[in-house]
Amino acid sequence: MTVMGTVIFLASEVMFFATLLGSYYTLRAVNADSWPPEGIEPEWPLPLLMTATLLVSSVSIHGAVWAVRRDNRTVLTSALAITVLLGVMFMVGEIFEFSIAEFDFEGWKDGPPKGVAEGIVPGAYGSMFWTILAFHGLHVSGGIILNSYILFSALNGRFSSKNYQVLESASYYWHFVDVVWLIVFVTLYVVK
Amino acid sequence: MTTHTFTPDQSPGVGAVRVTRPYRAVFLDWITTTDHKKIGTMYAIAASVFFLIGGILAGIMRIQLAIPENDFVTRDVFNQSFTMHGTIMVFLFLMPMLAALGNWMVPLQVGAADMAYPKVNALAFWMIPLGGTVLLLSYLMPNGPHAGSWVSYPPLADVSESGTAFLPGHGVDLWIGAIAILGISSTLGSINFIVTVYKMRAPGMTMLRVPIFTWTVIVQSFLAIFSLPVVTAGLAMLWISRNLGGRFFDPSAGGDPILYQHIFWYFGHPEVYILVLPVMGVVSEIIPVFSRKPLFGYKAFIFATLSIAALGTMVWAHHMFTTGAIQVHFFAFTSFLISVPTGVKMFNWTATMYKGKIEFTSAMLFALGFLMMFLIGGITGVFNATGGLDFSLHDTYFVVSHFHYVLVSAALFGLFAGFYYWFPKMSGRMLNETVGKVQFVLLFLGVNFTFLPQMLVGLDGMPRRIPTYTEEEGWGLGNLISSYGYILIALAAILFLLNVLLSMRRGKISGDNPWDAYALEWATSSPPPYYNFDRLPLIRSERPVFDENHPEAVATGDH
Repeated sequence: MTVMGTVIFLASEVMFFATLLGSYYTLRAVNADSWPPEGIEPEWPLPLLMTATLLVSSVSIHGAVWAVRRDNRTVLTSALAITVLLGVMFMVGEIFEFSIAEFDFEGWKDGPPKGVAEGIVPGAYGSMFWTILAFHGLHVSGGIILNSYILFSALNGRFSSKNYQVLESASYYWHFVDVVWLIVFVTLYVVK
Repeated sequence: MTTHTFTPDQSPGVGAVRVTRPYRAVFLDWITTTDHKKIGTMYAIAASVFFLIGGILAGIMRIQLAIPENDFVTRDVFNQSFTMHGTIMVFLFLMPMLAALGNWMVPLQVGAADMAYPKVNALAFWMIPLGGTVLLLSYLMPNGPHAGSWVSYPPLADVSESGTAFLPGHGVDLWIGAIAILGISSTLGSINFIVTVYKMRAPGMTMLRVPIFTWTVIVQSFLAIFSLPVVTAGLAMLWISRNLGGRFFDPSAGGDPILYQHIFWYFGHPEVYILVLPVMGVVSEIIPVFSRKPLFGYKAFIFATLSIAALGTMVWAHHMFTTGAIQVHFFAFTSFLISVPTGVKMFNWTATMYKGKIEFTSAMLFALGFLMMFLIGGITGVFNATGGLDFSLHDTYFVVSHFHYVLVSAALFGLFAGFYYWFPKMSGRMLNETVGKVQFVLLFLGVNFTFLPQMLVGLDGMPRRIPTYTEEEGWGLGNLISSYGYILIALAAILFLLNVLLSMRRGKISGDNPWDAYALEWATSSPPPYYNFDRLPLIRSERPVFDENHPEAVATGDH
């Protein structure tokens, strides 16, 4: 029953990200000749690495589900540990991405930046770019906390082949975050 | 050490001794409960409190508009009043009140012991007072609450190019937070309803035997799941614009204000069906019972509900005709299409009553009131959906009148009908029928006195959201009548409150099935025990209780 509720919850999450991505493409169409604005070129190598990290973590959490169905505790806990680790690696990459890009935190100390400043923020492009990245990052962070809790429970012997609904739900969430990232990656770094 | 004695969870029925418990125990019991019936009751109490607040705000507006060039309140207070009135009535009265009925009745109607996720259910409820508090806290902020109307269009709700907010202070920000909290609460509740019906139906209860009210709650839940996250994302963008320098909606920085309107109405229009569909379900439970006939076209009704939901997601831009940025023909056409399934439902109800043995109980009267008011609301809706006509009706009091006929009268009549019908099941006692009939007359007159003149002044060109008007414009009489009508509605609401409070203690004992109704909730005792059912009747049709109580009718196939 937990799984069904999770799937419906993820349907609402799909609508949330669809709105953000739909807004991105709408504003892209409105500003067809300056999107991304001149001089701004999102660099894709690091995000590509992050994509690989997240894809592998999707495989590893599926490995955890595979293991719990066979009551294989060693594989279960190690697969979950790998998932958490890969999630953290992804977030490190994303925080690095926030730190290197022209992301002007300084101007925000005294309220919103004055006027249309140079650089990536606060134009429509930068707003969309960072909002989508940030909301995806928040979802990954939530997933890391969830997966850590699952790992903790698994270490305490909570799951078995007869009782792993919570684990399966967490894996669905993690796959969802992964798929959203693929769309975000293609949108922000490939299609642009 | 304190001694613990067993105390029954529900107030006892006839002849039982009323066991008194220490206040602290009662209090802890209620705030920690996961019982769907208690949570339903708490939803109803919370919604009633917010109804009173929203009603007072409406009263402020009606006093201000009663006479021309009035200075009862300042323009700011007026703007804040209509913004908060709309928000509170939609998110903190109607949605929780429908959740109250849903929480009470959905598990009973499908023969379950509780909701699928009782703890999530409690969480969803407690987010309602939280969201309401966040919203009302904005009254304590400098510059007061949100004053830019519940649609919060940029640029008004946004910041200017130089970074100053058009609506200064944090009223809008708190409003955004409150809507996000209430939206998540509603999403959680919706997930719960869907899983409950899908997974926890009693043996024999196939989907095509599920009572109509539960069906409408399911369709409503799907609409909520697909539309609420959209507005949450849109409001998140608005919040980022206001506080972090985002430029989503500012054309000077490549943003698009129309984008916000699309996002808002992609939620805003399905929201209307979120509010109205369960009310249609309530009415469809009541009309067959008091016509002594099965609902005419049970399957057609379900199909019509699904069609309304599907079409309802394709019509949002009819709120945006005058922007000139949308396909008027397409959205006018889809909006007209919705009147087809709605018409099907009208015929479901009238055909059910046709040649029936109609009993004019209070519940039936309110249900009939819903039919009439909803018809007016629906037909004025067709006027608004007509692309060309809308250019002159847009943002006038005609629109205000239209959606109040749909929401206030329809939902209010429908909700009163529901409470007169189900109060015996909830409490084991009847509401006073005489008071109910007086209340019906008051409400019927009040609603029409309030909103019919608004339609007329609207046709005469009175714009909505204006704080006052001059005498020469000639809208004085209509507004005065409208303000008197408000008094009648307020009296009806107070009468209902008194009726509930008095009937809870002194009402006539109802028995398990006072209306000789047919859906599964009437198979258990009134009020139901905390586990809901001692035994379930055989479920071989969508009218299991009727089948059991009237075997002779089933034998002759006359059911």
